[in-house]
Amino acid sequence: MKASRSLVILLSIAVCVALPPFLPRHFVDLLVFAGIYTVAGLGVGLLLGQCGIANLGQIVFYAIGAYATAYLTVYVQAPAMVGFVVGMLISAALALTIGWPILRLTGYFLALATLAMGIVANALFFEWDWLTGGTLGIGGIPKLQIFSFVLDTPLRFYYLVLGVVAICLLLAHNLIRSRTGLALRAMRDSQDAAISLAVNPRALRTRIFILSALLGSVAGSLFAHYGGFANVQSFGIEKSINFLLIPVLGGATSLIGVVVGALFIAVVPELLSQFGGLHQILFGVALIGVVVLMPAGLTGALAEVWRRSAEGARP
Amino acid sequence: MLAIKELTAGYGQLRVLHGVSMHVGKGEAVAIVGANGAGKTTLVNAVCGLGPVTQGRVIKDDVDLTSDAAHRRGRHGIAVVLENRRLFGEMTVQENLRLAEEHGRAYRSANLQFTWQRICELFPLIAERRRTRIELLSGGQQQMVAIARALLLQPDLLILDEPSTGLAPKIVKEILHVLRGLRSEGMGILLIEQNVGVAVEITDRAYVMALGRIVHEAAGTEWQTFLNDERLAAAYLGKASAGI
Repeated sequence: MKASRSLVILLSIAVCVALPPFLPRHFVDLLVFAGIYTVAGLGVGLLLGQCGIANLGQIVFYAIGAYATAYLTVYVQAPAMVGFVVGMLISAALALTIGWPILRLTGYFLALATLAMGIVANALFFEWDWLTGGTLGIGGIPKLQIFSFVLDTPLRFYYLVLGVVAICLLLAHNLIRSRTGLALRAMRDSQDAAISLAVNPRALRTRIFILSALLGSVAGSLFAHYGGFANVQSFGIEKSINFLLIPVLGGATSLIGVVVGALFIAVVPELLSQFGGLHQILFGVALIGVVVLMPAGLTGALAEVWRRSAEGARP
Repeated sequence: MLAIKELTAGYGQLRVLHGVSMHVGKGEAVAIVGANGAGKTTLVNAVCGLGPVTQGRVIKDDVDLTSDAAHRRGRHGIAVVLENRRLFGEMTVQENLRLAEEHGRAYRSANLQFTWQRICELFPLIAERRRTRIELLSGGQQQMVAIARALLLQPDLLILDEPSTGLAPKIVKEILHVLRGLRSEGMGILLIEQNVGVAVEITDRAYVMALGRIVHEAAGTEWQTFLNDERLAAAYLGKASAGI
């Protein structure tokens, strides 16, 4: 079982590396977005899967990353790395300031608090046009370049995003296996027992909230460089809902689930767009179908099929 | 060592504890007995910081812990075995013990009373089944893991909430044997029990709780013969518990 799992992971990596050059440019473009969404969705997924927190405010940190990159690279002409780092610093500071008071809430109340955070932030992005450019946004964000190699095609950018996704997944994997991950599991299993063993639930949840914000910010900076612009329409509440859908669809406790969920969110609406005006309804139906029929998400359902076929194969 | 003064606690409008005062001396073993619904578990939760306290104080070694967060109380030498054990069911025995072991080591870096080796001597099953998932252990084995987990926090006061519930008499005997050993080494014990027959075996003194109050304190011979006094037992514990 373990060997076959490693084989599947290796094969997937090989496909992710080797296939895109043979795909149409338009499709590679979707894969880039799937990668960016994976990074942002991974944060939401860690909160949902490890802490049981539904975060409807990830767009705030995504936007902060995008605006930090846009403002600093366009108006200050700072190197791209500065945009990434400043975005992450602001996001972490904000996540700490907002997270500490709201993470004493649980369940629906906490979800609503994060939703409120997203709505307030969206209004501020709109109002603070001296900083964000308001509805016009900030355009002309330079392409990323690594030394003299400019990432100016979807394919080139794709490989950068692939690398970032791989690093983030690896870090998340290590986190789950660390002492912090153990404390998170303990908290999920029996919060009172975990507390009596000196686990501080609020501090732990705040740490994951900050980590999630950092991932959102990195994704936002990547988005800004890839699209070349950042404006308030890209940072609406529906995007936050999409980010939450990523782990819900893919499977909240599985890291691969986040990748699958992000692919779903990025690719399925495009595939359905050929049906014209109907496509949004069809997307809604697809969402409901996955949530109702696969309560453990797409990867959960796949794992179940795998388990059954393995059992069936045994004499 | 532990002093509880005029403690009032409850949930929302409902008051469960009405001014409870009690104490556990250094190295002393004290029982709290009482029928279901007497407020025993609410008292444990209040001492551990897991439940709300509206009035009164919890003091350990002259330090007022009343407003200290629950996760910080282990530092003051308090460890608890919660009702129904509350082990982490999906984890292995070893994983269950790891958090306690690491935090306990952080509290008492200099002299660890309960090393991994010592724990395995107390409970040989832990060494044998360290990689087994908790769900696959029997109730008695689980209780031993729960006690081991509390001990790894290196406490000097061990609180146990109904440790004998649902266990076979033979297992209860084994657990009592371990607790007796701990006691003789100076560990303070606060045992919450419905089963007076079990509590009498290892404690020197007891508080009887009813309807959120301490209604009686029994020590010495009175406590040792508590069950023989039908009037007392029936009055405070109900007929069912009295007839064990």
